[in-house]
Amino acid sequence: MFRKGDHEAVDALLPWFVNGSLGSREERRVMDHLRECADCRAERDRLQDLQQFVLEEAEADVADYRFGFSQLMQRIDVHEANVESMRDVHRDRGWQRGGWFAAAACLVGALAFVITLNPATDEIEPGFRTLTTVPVTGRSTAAAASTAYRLSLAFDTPDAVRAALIETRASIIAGPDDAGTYLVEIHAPASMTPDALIEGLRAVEGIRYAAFQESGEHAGDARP
Amino acid sequence: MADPRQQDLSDLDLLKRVATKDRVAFETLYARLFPQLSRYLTRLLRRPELVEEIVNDTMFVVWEKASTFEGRSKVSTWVTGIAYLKGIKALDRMKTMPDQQPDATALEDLEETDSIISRLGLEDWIVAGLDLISPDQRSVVELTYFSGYSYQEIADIMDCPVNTVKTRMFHARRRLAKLLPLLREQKTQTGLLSPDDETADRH
Repeated sequence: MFRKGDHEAVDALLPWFVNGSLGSREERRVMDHLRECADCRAERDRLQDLQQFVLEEAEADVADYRFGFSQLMQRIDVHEANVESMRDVHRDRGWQRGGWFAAAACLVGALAFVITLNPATDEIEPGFRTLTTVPVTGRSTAAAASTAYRLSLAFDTPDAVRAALIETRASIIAGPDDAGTYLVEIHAPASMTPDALIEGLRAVEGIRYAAFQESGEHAGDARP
Repeated sequence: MADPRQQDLSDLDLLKRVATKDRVAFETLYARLFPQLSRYLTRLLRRPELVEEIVNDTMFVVWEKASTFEGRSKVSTWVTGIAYLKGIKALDRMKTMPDQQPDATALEDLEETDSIISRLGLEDWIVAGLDLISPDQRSVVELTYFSGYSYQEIADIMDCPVNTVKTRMFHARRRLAKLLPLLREQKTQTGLLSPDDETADRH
């Protein structure tokens, strides 16, 4: 006669016994128990019916993949073009000079952090050690020595810089408003003064306007 | 166009080529994974209009991160894990997570639904039942019965302990418990099963 604990343990394994994914040792354990337990045999049968139902339902037509794939490749093309464009911007503006370099590098680096991820999802990628965790790692490093600022930004060339915002998943809090300004959140190194950040942002090609967001003020209320 | 000559390549071989930005290999891999991902995300999201977007979000990550895959799991496990995370994020954004408690009314009604079942079909009720459980529970059911993953693989995909997988399955089974006997009864009535069908020899 089987033990109660064994019955519960085998019951928990039944779904994976039914789908054939148990290892040999567990499979044997389940089969030994099934010989003695009519309840578990009945449950196994029900789970087999469920599996059969799920598989039959899956036989319904699946959409052709090609449309979705073409959409994805367009997205990849835009992404790779923007990455190249941002690289060119950095090169052309002589980023090695002065505090503007620090500010612009801060912008690119900060925009690269995946701020729009909610805290729970920041933990998802570490579960897959195979995935690069640069955004999460970078964020956690930056969070320890950075200051979050909310700013209103407006762009001369929406395609180039806005595309960079989208691509790097900067935190767009609101916007664009009628004036075309976005309210964004940027993390800057703690050592950087607010004035240096603003000066650096205003020097970045494509940014027409940058100002700190006052509390209660909406994007676009501030004047250039 | 997916290259027919690449059909025999394993998922891992294709992914290695994707890591070198081989677009033909990427399309072959995309075509291969698309049915499974579509199906899984359709059930997880319950929003058909979002499925293609989330499939593409998933495969975009595959394109970008292919070089980081270390081969500790199957490629499909890795990709499904990405899809699960993207799907859950999408649900969070929509704030459409169903309550963790099942819709008790809907499930209790099943006891008096002979006529409803005959009108709508038991299959619709099974689908409705699957819709009533939480996304995490639904994910476990789909990954088990449709994709055939082991509980360890599901734990990897959903980034949770094995016991959590088993618990989610336990709760899903309990909430579907009223439906499953009716499924068997229907099969018996339609002649697909003999009432005396001895299932001891079935796996």
